[in-house]
Amino acid sequence: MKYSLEELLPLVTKLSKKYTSNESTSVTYEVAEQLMGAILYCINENKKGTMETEEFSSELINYQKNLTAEDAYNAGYELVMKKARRANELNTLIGKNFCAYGNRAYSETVIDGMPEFFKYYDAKFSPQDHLLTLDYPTILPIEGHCGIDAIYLYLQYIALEQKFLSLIPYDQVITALMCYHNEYEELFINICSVVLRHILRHIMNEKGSVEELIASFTDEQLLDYLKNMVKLLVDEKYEGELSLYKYLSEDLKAFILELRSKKS
Amino acid sequence: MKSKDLYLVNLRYIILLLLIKMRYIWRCGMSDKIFEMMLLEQQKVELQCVLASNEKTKQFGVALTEEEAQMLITCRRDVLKNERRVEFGEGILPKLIDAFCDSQYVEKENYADTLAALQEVFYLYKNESMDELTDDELISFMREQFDGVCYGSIEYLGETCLERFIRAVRAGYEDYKVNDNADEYNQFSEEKHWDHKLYLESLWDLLS
Repeated sequence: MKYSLEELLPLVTKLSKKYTSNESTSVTYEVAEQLMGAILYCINENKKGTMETEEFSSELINYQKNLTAEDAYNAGYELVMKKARRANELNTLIGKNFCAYGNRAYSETVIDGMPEFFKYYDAKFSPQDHLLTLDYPTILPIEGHCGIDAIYLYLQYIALEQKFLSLIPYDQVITALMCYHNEYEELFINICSVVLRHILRHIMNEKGSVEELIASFTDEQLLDYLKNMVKLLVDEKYEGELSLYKYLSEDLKAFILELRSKKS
Repeated sequence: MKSKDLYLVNLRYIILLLLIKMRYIWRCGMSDKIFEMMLLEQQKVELQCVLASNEKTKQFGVALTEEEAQMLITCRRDVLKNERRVEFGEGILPKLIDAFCDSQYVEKENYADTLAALQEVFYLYKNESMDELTDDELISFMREQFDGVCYGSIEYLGETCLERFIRAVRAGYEDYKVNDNADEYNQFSEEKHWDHKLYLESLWDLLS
């Protein structure tokens, strides 16, 4: 459901008055733009929330079509608040057993950065701003997402990574990281990816020559082969968790490129 | 860190900065259209409010004709555009009229021009204060100094009092919130002014 500027501008005016506590009759362009962004973000959250709901139906679509911009914004704002609470709970859960394995970017982003996000996140006037640079790279990027949406997704990825790494002995994780680079602590690398590739290489070595294996497969065949290996690993050790399998599988195309480039 | 890794880290940050700059340039174009729309809507409301203020200002011997009111609103539009601000509601003009209409330095000959100049100075220093001051706080300070050390000169008001006071506010000065602007400017003044008692003493010496 698209709303015209004529429908949105009164909302910007209303929000501007709240922003200034009715103590100013004007705001800068930047602030007005930020507030417009806030309104559009909440409206979009409401639209996404409708699409994702289990009771998705034609009645719901019609209901959404007849919503005023203000109602859509208010409903979206409630969803933003809900998501912020869920993200905060997830962050608390991650923090209980989090291990960064010495990597500074991992530690600073999750341990230092995340609490600051929840302290300063402004769901009312700037919900689209996720404040953090999220320097630690996840396997799946969060480009295209912003605000609490980006943070919640990011935390879900971190939770999956921590789940994966938690079942691997600490020393083995460190060994894998040191094999990758002896100064891994200072690099902006994905710990999970490095460890996963190390494990997959180890399994491939046990079955025979990795170079011969790579040479005998096309990229598609190699991808299927590696996906099966990941599936077996997740089924055996992680109770077949589908979201973990999907997340780890996303790293395999880049892994294939790495294998091919090392071979050449 | 190996030089290759350092290069990749730096490249990532350079790309991120470029993307942020491109996004900013696109957004500036979008913003101007949206805010011009807001201005147009608001102008209709403001003309009525400005003309309605004549009811109060008549008693002080000043009033705006419809042409003058329209001129002020046009000036307001230009100043808002220059200062990259957007107004909502009835705007600042009615508040400025209310605050300055009974000033001894405002006469019917210069009423519209004075309001236009005050409006310009108001928006400039609202930006300069980074919105740390509310409308009422800024107008209150302006009126205090306009009638005081500025002797009705808006140029002097802008170049001295406001410039120094706003600088202090940006640096963290907050006493104006409790002092209610009484003699607020004295501590920031860089000019020597006549003390009232000293003036009388000097006058007496001259006459005796």
